Amino acid sequence: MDIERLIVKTLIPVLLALFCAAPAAARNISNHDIQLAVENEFKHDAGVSYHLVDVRVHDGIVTLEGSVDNILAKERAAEVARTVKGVKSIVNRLIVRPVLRTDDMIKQDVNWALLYDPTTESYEIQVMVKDGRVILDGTVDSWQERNLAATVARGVLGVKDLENRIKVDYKTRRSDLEIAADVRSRLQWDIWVHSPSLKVKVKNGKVILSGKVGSAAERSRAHRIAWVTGVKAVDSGKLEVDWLLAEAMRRKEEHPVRSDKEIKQAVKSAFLYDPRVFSFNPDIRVNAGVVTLTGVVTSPIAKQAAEQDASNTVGVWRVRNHLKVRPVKPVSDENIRENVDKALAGDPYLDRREISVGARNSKVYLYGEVDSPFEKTRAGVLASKVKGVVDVDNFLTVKSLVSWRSFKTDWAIRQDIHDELWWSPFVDADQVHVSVRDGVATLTGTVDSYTERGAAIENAYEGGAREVKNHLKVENDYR
Amino acid sequence: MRRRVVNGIFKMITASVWLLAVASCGTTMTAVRERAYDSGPVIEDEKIELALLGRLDRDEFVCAAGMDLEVDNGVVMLKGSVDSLTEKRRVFDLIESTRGVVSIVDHLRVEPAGRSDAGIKEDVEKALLIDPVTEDYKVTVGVKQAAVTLEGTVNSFQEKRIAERVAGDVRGVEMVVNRLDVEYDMPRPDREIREEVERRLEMDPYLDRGLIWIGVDAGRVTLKGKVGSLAQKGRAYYDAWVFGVQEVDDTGLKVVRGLGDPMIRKEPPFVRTVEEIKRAVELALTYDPHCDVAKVDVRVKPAGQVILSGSVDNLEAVYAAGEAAYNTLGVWVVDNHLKVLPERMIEDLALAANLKEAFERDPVLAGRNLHALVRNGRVSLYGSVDYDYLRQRAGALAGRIFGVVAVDNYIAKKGISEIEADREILGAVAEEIYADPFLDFDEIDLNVEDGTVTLRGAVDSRHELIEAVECAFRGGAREVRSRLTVEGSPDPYLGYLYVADGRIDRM
Repeated sequence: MDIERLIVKTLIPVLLALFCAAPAAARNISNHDIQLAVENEFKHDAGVSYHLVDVRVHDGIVTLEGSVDNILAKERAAEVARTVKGVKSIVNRLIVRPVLRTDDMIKQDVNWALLYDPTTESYEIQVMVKDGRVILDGTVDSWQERNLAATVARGVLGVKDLENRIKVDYKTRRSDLEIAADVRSRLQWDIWVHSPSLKVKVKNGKVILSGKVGSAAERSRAHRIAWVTGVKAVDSGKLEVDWLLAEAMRRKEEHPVRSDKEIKQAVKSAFLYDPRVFSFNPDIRVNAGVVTLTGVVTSPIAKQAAEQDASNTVGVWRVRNHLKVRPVKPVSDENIRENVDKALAGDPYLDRREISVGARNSKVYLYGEVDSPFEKTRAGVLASKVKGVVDVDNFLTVKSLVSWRSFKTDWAIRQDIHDELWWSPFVDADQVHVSVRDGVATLTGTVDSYTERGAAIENAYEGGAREVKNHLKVENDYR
Repeated sequence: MRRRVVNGIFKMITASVWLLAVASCGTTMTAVRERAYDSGPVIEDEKIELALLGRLDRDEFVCAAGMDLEVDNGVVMLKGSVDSLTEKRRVFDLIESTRGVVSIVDHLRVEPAGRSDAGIKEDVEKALLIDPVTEDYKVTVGVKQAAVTLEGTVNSFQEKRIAERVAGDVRGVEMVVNRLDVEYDMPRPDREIREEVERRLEMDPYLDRGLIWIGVDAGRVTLKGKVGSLAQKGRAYYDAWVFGVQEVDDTGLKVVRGLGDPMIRKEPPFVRTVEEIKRAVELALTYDPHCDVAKVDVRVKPAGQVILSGSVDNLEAVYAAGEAAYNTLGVWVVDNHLKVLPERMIEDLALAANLKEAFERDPVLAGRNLHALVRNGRVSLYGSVDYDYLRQRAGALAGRIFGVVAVDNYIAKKGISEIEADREILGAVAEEIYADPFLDFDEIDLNVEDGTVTLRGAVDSRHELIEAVECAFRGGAREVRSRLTVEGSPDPYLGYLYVADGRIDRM
């Protein structure tokens, strides 16, 4: 028996070595691996009905097939897939099979949604609906506004497809040189884009991006950022996704020290391109990387957007959000309650949930039970977009799921967290050490930014931890 | 810190109680191990009886009030009555997996609330029609005085068994007479059958292949040798029904009455190659009637990690495939990426109606406050019930309805169940572990603090680990923490885990 034990004892280290070597080495990602990783991400995302989505991968190109019940879920699926390492691009063939509604009902609701959204209310947009397909027409001032109008329309129950015919009419003319400088600066200041090899060329108002980025998500973000004032088209087809190279570069990357003055300018420029924020022109003060926002906006959504924009800027450590919400004209609480009810009932994710709404002194209270944190957040966002609302207290509780089949040992949880970290293009898995005891994961090590730290924590939960203890340090954080 | 000291003292007390309780049977650990296959000292009938009464009493599902049992030379005589065939099956499961029980003499009557035969017939037919396995078959259902007779032809013994189960789970049924014929597409030579039975027994982690002799003659399989419990005997019988088998005779398979641990494999946990594991998992899937093995992609990575992907016809197949993979020797982790893609879509409204009817047909779930929301084939269950097993049963039932692609179980448990004193829990868990023939009881050490059971020591396999955790819950643990080491596992911490407010499903 002793000999048996001896064999076992010598075998274990060998096996262990086999096990540990696999993720550490520059793992060759097969199409099958990518497929499983994408499916895994879908499973963790309550906004995608993963059970109906089929994922095929060829040469890093992900094809999504199957059906979802709303157009937002279709887009969300693509967005989630883009954040998986090794994914080069997405072919989205998902079919939207929404709840059946008449075109008139949909049209009415799209009009209502555009009119009641604090940002799009002033736009002049014509809405047509045919067989569940929405066509938007009109003229707006920027590409961002055009996009926002489409997003609002997509959130209406019953919409199968959307065609955006809205034209952009820039108030100012800009030379190619000016545009190029603007795009470069915007890309440089975005925390999600960090590829030094990214090149920008502008010809007759058309922006051509080339070089290499780390993920499909990074490319789509760069594409969106490039739509600055004066741009007629953006071509990101020459932007190659190469995660290995990007990872190597990121490790070598120096963190340039940014002056407060520069940061302030960058935040200001970020506001300029966010139609939810720019008209309020919030006051920005920067002190040692801490941004303080003051001023008045008309909706909680603008307040949140401003904070988000600021924290997406390179060099910003923290945002102190002192923006005040003051509606243009007061709306009665009764009216607010009705409109929040209507917004929730007309949402493709929440239409069947029983959420009770209270309103007092322009503040909205949400009560009830929902199935996931995703639904809870969504209800909060929808409520804060309603006209006249100053603040939202979200008291929704998330029901706990009984999962009988889950039986995960600490070892398996740790492995899954490792996998999650490795597949995320936002985290450098080598810098994060994971240990798991009694289902509680402890993360240690040093990461580059707060966003990376946040992503790592999320990964730990997705890997199956019931609780995450975060001991990750952020590099260059002197405070 | 203080906690730790208290814990330590408690543990010392625990250890001594434990030793007294268990080791009073007179053998030291190594002695038991070496004499594993000897009968060892025979477990007294009185002890078996006490263990059975304790187990039945603690089980949430079984109402022991109407039942009576006697033990004579390891033979359990059951008398009295229960409410449903489902409950009776549960009673049998418990008794069969109790150490020392050699056979059961069944005088247990099923006395459900009376229903008309016509009503039962209609329900059985409907139940067979929505089950993903039986929906393809033409099964004739006859009902006479609450006894259901099934007639027709199926393609495997496994399917035959599932049909019987589906019929038995209908409210009002007292008995199922299974006259289904198993018909194979083509006959198989005895040698091939023998080899396949051998492989099946060998890869079953609950069995010890070395103790079972297999004979095959004209499609008739004979099993002889020793097993450690009735549960193991049942497994061997089930495993032996490979394609081509006409009959299985397991009368020569004797259940050992000794206290030794014949259930536990004694050979060293040797490493299996990736290819061997892959073939074994595929073989296991072939015999699962829920699964179309051709649609499941099995990949095996070093150190026993199995990845399942592809799409199957029904949700039960996803669970069954995962279970089959786990029940293969050498497998440590299963990544189940299987998806459900029903051959034909069923409208959400129709699915919701099927689900509602299925709940009403069930002898245990009928009349409970449960409701479901169906969206694109995905079912969310809501409501509140008194016991964990009811939540579990509702979820499992929903997963066995054709057309359901996913189940989210949000059913809540009413109130908080009474928490027993730590001492009570300790005694009960010790009893459960002792009675469990799948566990090597003197290798597991436990202590209890504030309802949390901590398991320490060593087990031989992943299955023993799960079994031990289950025992802790059955004994009344609120939470279970495992510090068990699993011999031969690829990681020293494989046996470490924490489970709260939930039991492991092993249906």
